[in-house]
Amino acid sequence: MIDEAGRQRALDAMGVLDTPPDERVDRVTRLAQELFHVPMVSVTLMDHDRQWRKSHIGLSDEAPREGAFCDMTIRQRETFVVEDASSDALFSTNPFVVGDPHLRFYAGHPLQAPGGEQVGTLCILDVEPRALDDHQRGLLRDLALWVQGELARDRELDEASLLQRALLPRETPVVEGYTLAATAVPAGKILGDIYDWYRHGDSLRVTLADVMGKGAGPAIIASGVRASLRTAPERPIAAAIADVDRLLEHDIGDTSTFVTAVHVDLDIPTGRLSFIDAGHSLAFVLRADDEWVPLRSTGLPLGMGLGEERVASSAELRPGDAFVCCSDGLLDVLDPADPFAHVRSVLRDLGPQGAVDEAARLARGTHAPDDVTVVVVKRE
Amino acid sequence: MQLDVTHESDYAVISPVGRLTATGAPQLRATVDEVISGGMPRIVVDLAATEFVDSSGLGALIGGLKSARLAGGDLRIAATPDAVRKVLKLTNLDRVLRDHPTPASAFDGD
Repeated sequence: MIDEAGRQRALDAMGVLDTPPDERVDRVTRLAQELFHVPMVSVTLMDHDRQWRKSHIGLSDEAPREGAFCDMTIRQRETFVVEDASSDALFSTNPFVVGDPHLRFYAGHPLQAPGGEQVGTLCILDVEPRALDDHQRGLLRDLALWVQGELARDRELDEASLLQRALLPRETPVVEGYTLAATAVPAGKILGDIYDWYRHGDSLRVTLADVMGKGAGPAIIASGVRASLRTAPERPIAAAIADVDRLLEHDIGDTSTFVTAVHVDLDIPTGRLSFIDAGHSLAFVLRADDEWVPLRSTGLPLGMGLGEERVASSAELRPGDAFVCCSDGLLDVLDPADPFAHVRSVLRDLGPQGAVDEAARLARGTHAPDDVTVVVVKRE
Repeated sequence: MQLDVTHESDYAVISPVGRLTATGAPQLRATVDEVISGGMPRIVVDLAATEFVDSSGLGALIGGLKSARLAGGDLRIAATPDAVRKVLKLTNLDRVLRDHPTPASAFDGD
């Protein structure tokens, strides 16, 4: 007997029911059809009294659960095969055999939730009788395990993505005399960039960091960078960067990754900017008269472990000027002929919030290959 | 990507042929580590036949540089394509990952 209530809970917790098609699962379905030369393939989940199909070829999205071959499959651990249903004692009078789609052949392998509950199947079906040899059974099992991994991964990524959203600033600090706007759009589900900003007395701290690579690994590092820089705001920015540099060297020093970052302290009354650029090179002041001033320094990326001494440089943010900082993903969605002119005209026409909204729109619309993060601080 | 390794008297040359990306980066790292543990921490990565280097490839070069320096040697690059040189310059990594015209000139004079 199976624990139907526990099975249903596990399926619900996977959060996959009634979600849109997923190319990563569809890919396996297509491959199964190619490998087995069958007219019908399905990734079926057993939801209450219905079969819901996450991916399917030659079938519909849903079917009743009653009498379903897949309902037999989830009651066992092994591949379930019916070679010719019309001569099978159990299935010869089955509605799916007698009526539409007139099934003869069925082979399904159970799919498990992360906790081992049998929530569905990967199955192949035919209207002609067929046999499945041991090698083919092994193949079907491998494909089922692949689908199972994709369904679980999806859930993990969604959770990571939610958690990560929570680490981005929820509110924009109110800073008299300045307009602030920022956006961050991941290339996949998870962002390898991070930005942060907060007030500390008369100053505004702004951070933008880009971890090499994309996905979950960089995201974990990015949240560590944010946490480290946010701790002890009374530290001068050079000390904060030196601390995170040491931390990263300790944590990721023996891997091949690194982090580029810009860390800025803006003195609100005077507009004086202190900044450290750690190999990022994408921070600028756009002057009121349209001149671009790069906030460049020669600092290495973080986590290199080469004993880099961090020194802050400074610049002025005068009335009408805007501090603009982005990750290199933005370059992929700007006008390649003149990216600076593109940013300048968008900022002038739409203002800081409109400009970052436009960057987010471009990033989503073009399916940008890299994360896109932009921060703008304009002095009025 | 294919990796060719040649040993000179006082340095080794590693030549990635093709695209140095996330697929080939671990292979480069492993090869650098092999050469170092074989007793040769002076390494030139010859990029003459490398079509393209992405951020993972860059990471592998940096990782190799760190290993080489830890072992008392260095990792230098030769015949760097313009696009890669641009990225190195932007990230200031050109300060530590020095480019030389040819593998033979990389350890010239030291």
